[in-house]
Amino acid sequence: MKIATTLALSAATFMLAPPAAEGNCPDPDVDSTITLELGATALLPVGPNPALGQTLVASGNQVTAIDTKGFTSLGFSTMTGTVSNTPNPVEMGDGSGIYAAFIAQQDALVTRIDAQSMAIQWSTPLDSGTACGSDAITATAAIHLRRFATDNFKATFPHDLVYVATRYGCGNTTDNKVFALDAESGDPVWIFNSGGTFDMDAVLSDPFLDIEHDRLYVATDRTDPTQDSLFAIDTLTGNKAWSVNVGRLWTSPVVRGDRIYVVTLFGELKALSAADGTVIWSVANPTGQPVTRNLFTEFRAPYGGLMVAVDFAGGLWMVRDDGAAGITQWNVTLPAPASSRVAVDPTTGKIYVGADDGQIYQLNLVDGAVESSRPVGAKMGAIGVPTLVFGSINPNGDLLMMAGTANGALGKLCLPWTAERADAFAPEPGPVATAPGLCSAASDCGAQATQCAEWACVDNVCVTEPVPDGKTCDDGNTKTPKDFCKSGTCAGQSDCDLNLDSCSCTDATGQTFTRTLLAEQPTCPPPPTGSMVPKGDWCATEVSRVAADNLCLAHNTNARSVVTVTLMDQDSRPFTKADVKMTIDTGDGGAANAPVWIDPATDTPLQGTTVDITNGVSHGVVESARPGTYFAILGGQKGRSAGRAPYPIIVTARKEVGGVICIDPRTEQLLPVSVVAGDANDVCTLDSDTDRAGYLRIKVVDSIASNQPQAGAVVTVGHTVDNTFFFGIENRLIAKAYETFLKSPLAPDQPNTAKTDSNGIVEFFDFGNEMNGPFEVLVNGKEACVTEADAVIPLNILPLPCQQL
Amino acid sequence: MRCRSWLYVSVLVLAAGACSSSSPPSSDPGPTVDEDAPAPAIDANVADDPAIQFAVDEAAADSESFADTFGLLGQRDLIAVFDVPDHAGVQIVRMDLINPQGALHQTIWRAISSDEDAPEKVMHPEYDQPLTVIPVVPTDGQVRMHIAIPIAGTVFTRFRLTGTFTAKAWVGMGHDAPLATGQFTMTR
Repeated sequence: MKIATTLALSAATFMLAPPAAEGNCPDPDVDSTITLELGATALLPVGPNPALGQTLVASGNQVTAIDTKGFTSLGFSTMTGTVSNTPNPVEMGDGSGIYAAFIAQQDALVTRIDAQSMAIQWSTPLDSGTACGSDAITATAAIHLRRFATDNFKATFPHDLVYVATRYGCGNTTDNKVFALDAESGDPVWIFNSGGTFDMDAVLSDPFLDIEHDRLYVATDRTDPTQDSLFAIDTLTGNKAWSVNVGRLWTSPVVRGDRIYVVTLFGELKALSAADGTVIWSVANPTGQPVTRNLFTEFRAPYGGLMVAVDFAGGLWMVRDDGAAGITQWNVTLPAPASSRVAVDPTTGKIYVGADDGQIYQLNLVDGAVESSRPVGAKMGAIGVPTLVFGSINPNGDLLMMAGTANGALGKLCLPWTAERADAFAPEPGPVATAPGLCSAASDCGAQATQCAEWACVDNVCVTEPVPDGKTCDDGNTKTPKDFCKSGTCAGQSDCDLNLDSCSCTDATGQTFTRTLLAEQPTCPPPPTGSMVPKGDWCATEVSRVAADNLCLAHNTNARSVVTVTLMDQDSRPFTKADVKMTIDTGDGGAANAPVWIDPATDTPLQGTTVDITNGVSHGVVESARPGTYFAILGGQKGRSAGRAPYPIIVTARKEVGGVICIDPRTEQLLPVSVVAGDANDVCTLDSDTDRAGYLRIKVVDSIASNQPQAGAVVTVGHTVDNTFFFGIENRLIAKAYETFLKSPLAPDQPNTAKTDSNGIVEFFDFGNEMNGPFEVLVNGKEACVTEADAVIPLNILPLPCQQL
Repeated sequence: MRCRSWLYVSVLVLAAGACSSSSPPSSDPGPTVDEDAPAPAIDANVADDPAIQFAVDEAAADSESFADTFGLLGQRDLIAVFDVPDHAGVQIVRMDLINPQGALHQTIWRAISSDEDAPEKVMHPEYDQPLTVIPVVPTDGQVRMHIAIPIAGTVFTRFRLTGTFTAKAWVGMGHDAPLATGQFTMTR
């Protein structure tokens, strides 16, 4: 059986052996930027049309069709109003090969153009009818295609629909509307808020269409603080499903699963229930900067729940939805302020963003580190939104990027670029803020911002600055009797934090836990994801957490694998030598797999690094760790002998140090764990038991967007050798039953198949020490990879962390 | 692009030859950019033309509370104000914005008329799209134009565009010297 080619494999192949055919991307690291002059500002994302080999580009009042390969103009269409949106070409009707683009204009016209001839097919004025010259449309139209629609939609409407929201001028802040237009004629089918009953302010950003649930989500500005700013509209009727006031929204809502994500003008990122708009969590941009650019959400495998915003100061902010809260992962300031929102290539884990210095920067999605940059053309000026164009250029599957500039150029660049890892670009935390606004002085911002922060006015924006750490405060939680300010927030201290020597304690949620010794079964709760470890001897607990979740794993599936470990000092005190040790146990991989720890500050092996090989076991030990990010580069060969994985990363430390974030290089997921803390005389180490490393949990969903579990999906697991799929894992496979978890024990050399349960979950246990990842998985007889999203099959697989029993 | 000839005969008086042009104005790449030159702070030639002035909103424009520097987040639209001579029929007014790098940022078209029997819509002389005719009341033979430049939610705020922008206005298609010019500076 042949293994399906995933995007990741294609990308990896591309990186190792860049194709030379067609001459598009002979070497992405060579300055391969090609520039086309368009004559007017071209900052909006471009609209690739792989089927026709064309790309539509908006510049000023014009939409130009570009030959994607030859990068020449094929024709253009000029509008009376400035083009406000991405000219995305879509195939209309039943897939008959007719492509159209719908253009929103700043003179309140919406226009359909033929995406091939560029001829205007219809223009519909959506002004308020008051002869107000400043009525406008600035939001991209949402296209509801019948061939992807629900049966209810098909039964209701004979044609595709186009949804357009207004941005009325002349002081009209209550009568804005959403039009559903017949895509063939441009005639209105229904009008939301036609009578002005919903007090709807201007729509400044693109509506989001949830085609599976016939819902349209429209965000608005909010002149009156009592106005609702997010509207859910039933697309079958044009009636309001619900509306809520979540703050001024200049950016688009995004729906993922059963949640809506919005980021307010004042820099608050919120997760809402798609059912009724209830706020699930809210997190403020730590820099305090407003956000006026659309959020980029990365929910594709192997990532999940990641959101990247570019704030008004041009800094990048990444937040992860961990289910219960939005966790800020990092803030990054580029050498020049970012001018665009970001694009992400999930196959390589790279972020691309334009900046005011005329460069496009490449960052690592996981840690935000700036890796490289390229100019777009010779002129300086702001760079527009980079658009990734996959595989449409030539059969080699080159990945290209296009981005326009403020001065009217369009650049085409090859990807990805070799990381340069300039230390000066390392992510840095910004000032802490919780609720910024606009101001000319701090007094405009109000009274004391919070118990632990004071208002300041920076660049006409209210930001909060932290009061000195240690000031007493009250977090309102009776379970945390002693609270103090720390980095601008009120840090509650629970019984578990304060009574470190007690064998039992009550945490901040009121739960009681028992601490036990290292060798015993631990029961203490793990700390919140990404959080610091409280002071004190949590040795047993933290060791157990590492063991239980088995998150710190290195994989060596390529010739060289890089594992990133970030150490955090909770009190900002430097580590001293021998505070922390990091070890990778590569089993019997021998010298070829010996890890080398690299300090990115100097790009040299860390001082004190030792590598010894005893009894066939390679160890790389770092003894001079300090706060920062380190890389372990594993040698070895691609193939089974060098592909033994996972290798447990053992992090040991003395007590009263901070946390550790380990990055699984196979999935590049953030896998936060806590430091293994011990005292000076009793350094704790993880007792890794690779014989029991095989707990595999797979969730099958109908689609990433719906996140609806698929019950009864037939899942078969195996692994690959030389592109051959093996159902079993040779004769050394060990199948064990675990009484409460057993769903489908594996058998040697047999197809290991099970059906998903009502939650779409299937679990496999204990592959023994032959767990050579990545595993391959068949779902309903189709091939997929558990660590990759496979766009070819209708099903998507969400990787869940492998856990050790 | 076809050129329609109905409803705007008077426009063509002002925009003579527009429809015979083989090069639509909007495809004009704008002024040549000197790649090595710094962004223009002040255009010396601008001061010689009748001024386009700018206000933070319609009320400020009505009260002639003009300014030349604006914060990007401070207003939804920027109102450009200038005078044009009144003529019978429908007049087409064009205003271009040139960005700090010297490239064309956008073109705004308006159709105006002081005629009581003016049509509600006319077709643009060169582009196959309708323009709403805005009723105007002349004073001493002059019409005071208020043209809103959308700021909030546009590329201005999405891409945080700052610097000094130049506005140039024409009556007609914009083939001649501009009727009025002005500059404003966007800041954070």
